[in-house]
Amino acid sequence: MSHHLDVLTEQRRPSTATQSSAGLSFSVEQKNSSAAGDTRALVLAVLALLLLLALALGRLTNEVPFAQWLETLSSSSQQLGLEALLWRFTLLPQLTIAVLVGAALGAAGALLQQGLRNPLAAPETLGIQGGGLLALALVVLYQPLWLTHGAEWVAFAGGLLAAGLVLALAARRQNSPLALLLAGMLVSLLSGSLLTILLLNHDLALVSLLAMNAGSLTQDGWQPVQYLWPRLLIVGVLMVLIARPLRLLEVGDQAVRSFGVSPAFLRLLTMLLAIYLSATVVSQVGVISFVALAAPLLARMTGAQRLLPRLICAALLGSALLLVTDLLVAWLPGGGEWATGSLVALLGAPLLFWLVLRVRLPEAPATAVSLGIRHQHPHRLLWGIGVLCLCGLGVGLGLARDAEGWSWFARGDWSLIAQWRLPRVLAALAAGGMLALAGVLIQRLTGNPLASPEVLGISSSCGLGLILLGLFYPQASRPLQLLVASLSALALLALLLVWSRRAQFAPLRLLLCGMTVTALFAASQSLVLGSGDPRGLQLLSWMSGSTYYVTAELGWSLLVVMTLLLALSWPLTRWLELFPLGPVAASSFGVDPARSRLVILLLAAVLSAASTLLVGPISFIGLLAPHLARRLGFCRAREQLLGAVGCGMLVMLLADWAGRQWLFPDQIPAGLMASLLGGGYFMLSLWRRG
Amino acid sequence: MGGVMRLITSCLLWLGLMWAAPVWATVPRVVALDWACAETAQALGVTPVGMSQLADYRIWSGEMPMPDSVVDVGLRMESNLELIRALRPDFILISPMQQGAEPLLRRIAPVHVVAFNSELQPDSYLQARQATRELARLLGREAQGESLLRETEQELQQLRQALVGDSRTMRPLYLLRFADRRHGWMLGANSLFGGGLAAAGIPLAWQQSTNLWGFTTAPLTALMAEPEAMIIYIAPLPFPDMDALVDNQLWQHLPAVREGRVVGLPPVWLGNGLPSLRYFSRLLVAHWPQPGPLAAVASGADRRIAGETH
Repeated sequence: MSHHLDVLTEQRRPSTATQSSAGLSFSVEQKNSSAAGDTRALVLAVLALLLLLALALGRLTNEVPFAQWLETLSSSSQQLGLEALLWRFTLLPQLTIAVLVGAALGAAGALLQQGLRNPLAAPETLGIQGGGLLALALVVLYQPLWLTHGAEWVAFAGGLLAAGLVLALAARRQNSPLALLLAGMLVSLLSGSLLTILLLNHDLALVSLLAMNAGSLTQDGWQPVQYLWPRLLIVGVLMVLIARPLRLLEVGDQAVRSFGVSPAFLRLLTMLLAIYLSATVVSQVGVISFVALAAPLLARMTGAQRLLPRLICAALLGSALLLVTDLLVAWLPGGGEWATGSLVALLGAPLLFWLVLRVRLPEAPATAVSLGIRHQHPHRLLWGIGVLCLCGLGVGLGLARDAEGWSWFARGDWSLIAQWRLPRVLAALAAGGMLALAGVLIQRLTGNPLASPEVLGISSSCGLGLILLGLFYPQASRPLQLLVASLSALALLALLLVWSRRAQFAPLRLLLCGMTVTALFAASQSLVLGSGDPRGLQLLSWMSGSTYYVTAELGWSLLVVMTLLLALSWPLTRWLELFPLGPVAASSFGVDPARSRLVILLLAAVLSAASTLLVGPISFIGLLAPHLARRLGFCRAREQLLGAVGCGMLVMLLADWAGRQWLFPDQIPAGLMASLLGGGYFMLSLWRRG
Repeated sequence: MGGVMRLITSCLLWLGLMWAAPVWATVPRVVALDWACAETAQALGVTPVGMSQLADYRIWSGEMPMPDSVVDVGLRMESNLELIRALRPDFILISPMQQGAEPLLRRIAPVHVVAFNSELQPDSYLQARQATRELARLLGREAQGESLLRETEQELQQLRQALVGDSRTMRPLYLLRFADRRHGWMLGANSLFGGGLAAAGIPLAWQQSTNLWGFTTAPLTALMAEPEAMIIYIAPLPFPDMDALVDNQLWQHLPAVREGRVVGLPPVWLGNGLPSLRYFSRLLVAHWPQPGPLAAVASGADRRIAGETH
């Protein structure tokens, strides 16, 4: 496996001493001296926050005139009228909590970015918030009494576990920024999948989690504010204390040691502080993404260079970001019913995209893809995979649980197998094959072993299209769904295509783009779920991708479509051989890069859309299958296509079967199971260092 | 000879059965994927052979009886088709929300969509009565169906007696289930319980729009809108006990909370059929505060209003 993920370590620059914050910088040239930049950034951040506070003040005076504030705040609450009560116990604490939570998240992001020397480290990219939420869900279900001791410690434990896993995985790859992001993405997607399984199977017991998942700032008292501010104060003081040695970390570990502090301890402390900040936020208001990522980046862009001003700027800007969203929410139709956490992620997605474009990151040239060691007899290997697929088919069709326990071939009830199991198995085969095919096409096209419909966000963009369709036109037929999903996939791919001229499909950029779209998708999904409409859960189960509704005709036709698309991509294999060598090499062999790219992208879009409809947006098969194929030794394009399709089918068969048996009589959608299998595999392969 | 006799009798019996169709001579084997259908069928004397999410139903419906013989056929949205098939049902009952699976289920047994909620009928109580009649006809239990309707009606009248008595006015009720410490599912007039209360002449305080199932998720602050209302909350709570709301200052300042006009009910499922409504109304009667203190509180509230108007 190792050599396939080599690209992860190649990111790393050879020298550590000269590395300033992992080589990150902005394309905005900073000509000013650092002190002037710091001052400018601080002034800007303070001004921004003041402006928003003035707006908030305006909103507050709208409800209760300024002259009566003191009276409203000091008088015994028994004597207050309803409006004054609402003002004092909902509006004011809500605006206060927006400021506090924003500051906490901004500071947490800045700490993480500094401690990990990665401009894209944030609670959401490291899976901290997802881990915290998953821990909360498990405790709600199995140990509800623990919550009385403080939800924040449960969330902290979950966040710590998730972040620990991410960091351990990244450490196996010399902490390269790409490896960190990839590990974070894997862990948050895995915890998201587990959470979805819990939600689908305990929809009623976990209702309270849906609001948390969406991140609501709604308040009805001062308790959360009173809870948060002393904790933030303590963390803030600690932050100021460690700011100086932490800044020296940029120069090198030696400098920190000369300060009398162990660098490892310092990093650990930074991480713990950041995780604690995010966990308290999760326990009080739920998941709020984007702020922790964007605020420190904005601070940097406005010119803050030294650590302490940057931390302060990030906190101020975090407050400003959350406050502006909260003020916007009040203006939206439907008023306070929208969850601020999801909304900030939705509104922030374009900004995040823009920011991501501006971060200058260390990149390996896109051609640095190792193609692995070729197997000596790829044809024999293909036969082997074929035989395994047949075995998988046998298990998928034959071995199942029923009312009396495990049974083999439905105790001779062949019509059961033909009518009920075969369609699902066929659909799993088709979806696995299509995703694998799309994965190979995109990986070869971009010369990037991390590209896949899931990682690039193509599947998420299909999901986004389907959510919108489901909201506005719930009676949509399958063909219409397919059309909408394909169009969404194409739209994103076109965007990628235009943009790729500048970025040249650099792995990290593509990953970031995918993360942005996935964040957008996750935000809209949690927004719908948080609204409490029972249709939300229907949407969730549908989005998770299940083979449940597939009929035999549909299953067969999907398999035929997959075979056709495989046949269509057959003549393209010459291009696919050349693309990983880079555009220059490709055109020197007489390939028109623009046109061939378009054809392949079109094909990949249709494949992604069709498979997303079947198994949902996050299945990892498109990433997993091409990897497996290469690892087995299929190096040529044609071999890899066939090998990957075989692997994809096999894994999807397994996922579908396991999803049907694991929680019998309840079922887990095949797409979710596949994402567990695929995510687990990638964690393992990240773990196994060369 | 005996064999021939037996054959003839069984033939006659069979003919008799055919004649009597669709009235079932024996209890039909029914799989109910919708909880309202399941409990209504059970109340009509047809215990379903299978229903969805049975374990959850037992938690959320409190003491509604559902015998151990009933098989759990998995999730409501994606029930286990192979298991349903193995139960060899005579027919399958689903709600309109589950209609996506109808083509699949129809291959196992005839499917009947029974709508206990409908977009076309804003009065859920009327809709539930209609659905109960329909179900009773399907199950061949018309007599039991009529008596279920009658008994529900009587129970609602008893509810009215217990809550309103002879007085002319009645505080409106907020009916909710807590979603978390700050949000609740507010039941509106188009919920089954709201409809039932309306039929009993008891006003509901929640006036804002709700979804098809008659509720909406809203912050607890929304309970401020009707200060004179009583608050009825339905278990299970998403937190250990009501002490969890001690910190919630707004909750503590709600007029109803300050004046002790809050009633907690044991679990009863919000979206079910008439058996749940009957159970709910019995619970409400059993947990309704004694008139003495409540009357005093009410007069206190009246004084407060009087004081404000001065």
